[in-house]
Amino acid sequence: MIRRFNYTDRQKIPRAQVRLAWVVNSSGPLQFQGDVDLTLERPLDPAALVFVEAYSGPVVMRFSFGTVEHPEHPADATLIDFPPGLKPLFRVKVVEPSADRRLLAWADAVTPLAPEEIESGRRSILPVETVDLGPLIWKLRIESNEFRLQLNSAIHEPRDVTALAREPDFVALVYPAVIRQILTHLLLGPERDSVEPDHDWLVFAAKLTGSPTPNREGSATVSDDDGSFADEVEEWVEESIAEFCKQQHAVESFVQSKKEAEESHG
Amino acid sequence: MAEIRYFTQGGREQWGSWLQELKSEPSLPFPDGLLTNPDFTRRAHARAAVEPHIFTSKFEFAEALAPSVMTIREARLPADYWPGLWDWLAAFHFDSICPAGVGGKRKLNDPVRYSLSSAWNRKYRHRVFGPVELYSRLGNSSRLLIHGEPASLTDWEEQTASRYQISGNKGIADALYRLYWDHSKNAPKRGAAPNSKKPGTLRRFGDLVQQFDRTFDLLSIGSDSILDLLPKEFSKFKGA
Repeated sequence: MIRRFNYTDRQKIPRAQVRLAWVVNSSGPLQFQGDVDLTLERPLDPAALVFVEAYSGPVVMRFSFGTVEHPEHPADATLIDFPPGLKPLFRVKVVEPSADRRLLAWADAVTPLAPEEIESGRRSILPVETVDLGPLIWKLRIESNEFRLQLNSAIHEPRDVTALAREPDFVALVYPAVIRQILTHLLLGPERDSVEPDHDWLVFAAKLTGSPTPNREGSATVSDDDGSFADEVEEWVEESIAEFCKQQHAVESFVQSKKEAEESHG
Repeated sequence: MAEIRYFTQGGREQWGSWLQELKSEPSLPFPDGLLTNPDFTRRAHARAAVEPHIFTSKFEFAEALAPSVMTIREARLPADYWPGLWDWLAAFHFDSICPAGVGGKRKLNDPVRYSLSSAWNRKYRHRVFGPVELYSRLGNSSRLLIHGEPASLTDWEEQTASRYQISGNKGIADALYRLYWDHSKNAPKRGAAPNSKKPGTLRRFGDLVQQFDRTFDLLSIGSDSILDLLPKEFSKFKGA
């Protein structure tokens, strides 16, 4: 789908081989734990160094995970550089041990699993964070083609905002807009050329629609390409949203939740 | 000394409204009591204080504020409160970042310079957040990026602060400083940051760093190696 060139010879570490999890610690700073399976198509230099980096914007905390041959979990994986309430993303780098410091393999934009995700065996592709959004109720944070649903931390009544966000009316009204923004960004946004074809959201939407992600090069009319590709994307995005709403029974759930709200008001 | 406080959501709104008014009425006086009003502000940390002072150097401004900001960071102020903290600091130091001119008139710039934007690609334009964050991460190597007056937003900041490979990496910032800082003039070298991608200049440096980032581990490579990686077009600045 997307034109990609890799002249660097570095290998991609599949997301499934990076197993990170948040460590629940209500009093102190956030921590994480995990391991990386570095069995790749081409075997890596056993002496290569392995780093896991937590990052948010320009703030990076680097943790040494030993070498390919001798993996070692850091004794302290406390994310002290990030203020409470902010959950960073992670990347893994496998680096040549020589002075050249070439990248041999990497994985980017990894989100550790939350305890409930580990319990259910399902990984959320839209992590939620609560921050001060001023007059806004929600917002989509986009960073390196990864997405976070931000909810306004000031909302506590009638329930905490994270509870409200799971309710049918919120899902029916907000998620279609979120999906539209995400897919449009991935396929038409400024960083579209660096989007991996197996990006979680593209795979998710392809499953919803039952049709593959639109391909700029495979677009029916390559000559007047941008316009027709954009149309194709729009159609696919709309179809994804419609399928999502169908699967969620959005209309029925929305109507039901409004009825219940009216009944409870007498 | 004054204790450092942060604006509550209501405080940020008051601050934003005053900035709006100031735009149409440039000699509007600073709102009385806004910085300490308990309805609009809260204490950030008992030991974090700030001194009223009008700064003329952005680097010195960032250098002076960074330790107090670090104290608050170490006290684990939640992420939600930081936008209010940056805005409060902008209000406290407003005479430095938006000085009054003739007749007490202020020339207000883009509001995101005084009220923190939540958009990652505009955030660094905030005239307290941008310089203090760069100084806190890069130390003396940030001198090139945050030279000039506190009110200014130079192309050096625009071209580097929005690129995380540069603004989050001390080795790269150090390489930039060694390449482009003119010690004799205490200023960037002449012709180092034109508006185009001229060979050997800042914008070319930024593009190359993005390419290197895909091939090398730039966090551990160090400034010597980064300078060695640069092609010949940079030699005029290396030697100058």
